[in-house]
Amino acid sequence: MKKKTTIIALVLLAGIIAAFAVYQYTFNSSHRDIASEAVSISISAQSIQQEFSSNEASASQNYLDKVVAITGVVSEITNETLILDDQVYVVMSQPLASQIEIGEEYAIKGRCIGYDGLLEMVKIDQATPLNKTN
Amino acid sequence: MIKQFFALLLIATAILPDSNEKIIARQGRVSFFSYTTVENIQADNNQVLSIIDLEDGTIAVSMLMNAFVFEKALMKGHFNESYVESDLYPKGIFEGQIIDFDPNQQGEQIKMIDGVFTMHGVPNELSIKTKIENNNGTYVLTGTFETLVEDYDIKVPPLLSKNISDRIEVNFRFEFQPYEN
Repeated sequence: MKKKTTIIALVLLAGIIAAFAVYQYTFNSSHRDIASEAVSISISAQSIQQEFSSNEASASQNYLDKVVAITGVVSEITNETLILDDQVYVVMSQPLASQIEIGEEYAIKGRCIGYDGLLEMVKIDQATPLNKTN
Repeated sequence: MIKQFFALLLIATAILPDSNEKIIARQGRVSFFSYTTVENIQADNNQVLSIIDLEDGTIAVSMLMNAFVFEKALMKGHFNESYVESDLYPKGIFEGQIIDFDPNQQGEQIKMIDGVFTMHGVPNELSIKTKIENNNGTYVLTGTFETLVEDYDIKVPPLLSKNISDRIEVNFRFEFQPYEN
């Protein structure tokens, strides 16, 4: 008799824990951490811009919401954003180090959020600097 | 006296912004809110681009749906996958005109913007009140308006209809700088 109640109690407890885990997973799952995700495509700033400007729909399929590594020459820079080759607009997740200069080659990893038709630029957010040796 | 007046006029015209120029806001902010008794949902996008042509007061705004940040990952998932379908319609675009906009007037002015906002592939006419603050050629546009979910052909499943308001409140703030093209 005592054994039976213990088993029932254990099963109930397991059920409650499982239900809580499912609830946490669906309703409170954490946001993506782009910096820790693997790069799915590496490409130059010019190539990705050309793909978007020539066929936005197919480029969107290939790159949208994916983690990409992009290399290009820095053409504009502010505290948290930079532009590569006048064609890719990058928003960093941390303020940029001050030693980056215009004209320098730079590589980043970030999430592609789409193409802006007004300035004809590809947009990247949650970006982190990428060491060229990696 | 006349000489001084003309000198002053010359300086004034040099300082005043050239009417044939554009201004740009690269990091405009657009937030939207849905208030219901079940839950409140808020999303912010700090990467909204806008360009105004000072000559005729036309304004263009371009926002990427994927850039909206939500409190919960689940909300963001629903928003992008089920509601705005951002893989098919990655952008929201507004094209309109600021009515009776005087770019040379310093300080505050309240104006209406009439235009068409296209989101989820559905164009919708909007008339938005905005406060424009002009401080020596940098312009800040702010405002709030409401729009209906059904105007954009967005279907909320019956199970979630209590969680999402029919009316969405939208706040915006854009800081414009001179745009050198």
